[in-house]
Amino acid sequence: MRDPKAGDETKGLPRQDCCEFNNGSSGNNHDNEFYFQWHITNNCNLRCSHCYQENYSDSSEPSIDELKSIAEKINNALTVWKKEGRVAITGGEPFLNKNLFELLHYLDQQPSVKQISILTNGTLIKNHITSLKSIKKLHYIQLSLEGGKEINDSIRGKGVFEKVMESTALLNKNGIPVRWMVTLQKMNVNDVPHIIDLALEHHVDTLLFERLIPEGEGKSLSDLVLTQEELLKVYDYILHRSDDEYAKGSPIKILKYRTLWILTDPKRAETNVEIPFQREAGAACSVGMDSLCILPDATVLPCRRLPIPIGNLRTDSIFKIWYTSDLLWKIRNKQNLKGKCNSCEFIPRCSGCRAMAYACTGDYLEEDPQCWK
Amino acid sequence: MKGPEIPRIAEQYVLYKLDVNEGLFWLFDVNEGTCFKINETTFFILSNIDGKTPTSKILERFHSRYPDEDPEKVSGDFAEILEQLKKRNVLSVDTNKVK
Repeated sequence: MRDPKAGDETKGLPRQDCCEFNNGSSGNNHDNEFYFQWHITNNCNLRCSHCYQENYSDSSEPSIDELKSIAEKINNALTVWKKEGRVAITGGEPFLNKNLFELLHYLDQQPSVKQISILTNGTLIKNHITSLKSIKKLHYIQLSLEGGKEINDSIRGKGVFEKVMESTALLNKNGIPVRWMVTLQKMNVNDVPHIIDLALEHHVDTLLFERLIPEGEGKSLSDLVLTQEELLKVYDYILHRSDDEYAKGSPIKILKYRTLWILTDPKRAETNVEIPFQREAGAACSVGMDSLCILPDATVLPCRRLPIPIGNLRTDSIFKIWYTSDLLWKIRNKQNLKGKCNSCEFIPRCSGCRAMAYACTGDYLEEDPQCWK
Repeated sequence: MKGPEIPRIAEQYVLYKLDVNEGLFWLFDVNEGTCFKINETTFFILSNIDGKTPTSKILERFHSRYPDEDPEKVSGDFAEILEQLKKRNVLSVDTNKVK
């Protein structure tokens, strides 16, 4: 009587401690991990022209009790899902939150939180080195950089470049891995070779390139978003430069775990390169798969660059959000994707950037406007 | 006199059919975070439970789903599935007294 393919799960109701609903490899190198990007303040000492924030008020800054309560919810979800947690603390500027270190120590004690990172503008680190060294699970500190001094400071503010270089040196001296994050746009795309040179010169552990999403403060900057051809050209350069540096034995890791990278070298994963950051080029969007973003007022977003609230941890459990969000289910079901993303042979290794689709078209299911395929 | 049995899904459970993988049906506990992979038969029964429809009516629908099967076996399977769901506290059953 029953569908023979359905098995006999009815009787046992097998418990699945899971949070994944995708079939096949997403290309992510962290299949057993879950990533939380947690913004603990909107307050910031900089006003970068392309920032995804619009509001810099600290009025919604959470108390330490609320931060600890959210940390416990994160740990509980990770424990139930049997996932290793990577928690990135950011802002605004996270070093402006007076509760930062109490929270970091608390996270350090949460057994399912395996890695902690801090995403910062890099201008306020120098008085906190001793405290940072006391965080046992601190994996890296990510500093934002847009290019050489002139380009960087025209985007992030005068004097910021020098502060980032000083912070990089200080962190290196103290054995704390440094990651630089570059937001690619028309103003800095030609400076990429120089940025890689700088990263090598300053002994940066990891270099990450993101795409400019025209939202928040950056909403008016849609003319700075790279065209498909420009993006292809710069990705191609980064890929080959990364290979060259690897061949030369440079210790730097140039990450390519993002959407669209798969198009640069589809067969790359089949090669015998054993170093994951070299072997992998491309990964699916992590929305609905293995990440969530939390804002200072406990609002939960699918991704910081996709500013559509899907719940709030003051009233909702992480489980309720993860299992019942209509947006997450729509994105998980790749058949819902539109345009060229819908029939793309690279799903699930790429599914386009949903945030870019939303920022450019108002529809997060639309095709990725920067895809050159 | 006992009224009709009306099954109800406990509040913390959410039912979902994953369209992307046809044949995958889930029952989520949004309080505890656990999820259960269920088969299409269980999904059919659970999706007919709305807290208003009596068990007898749901059983009728279940029978019409399998017109060529032995009715006794259909009823037996239905009762067994319901029992399992009750045991796991996924379902509760109201029995309203009729005056």
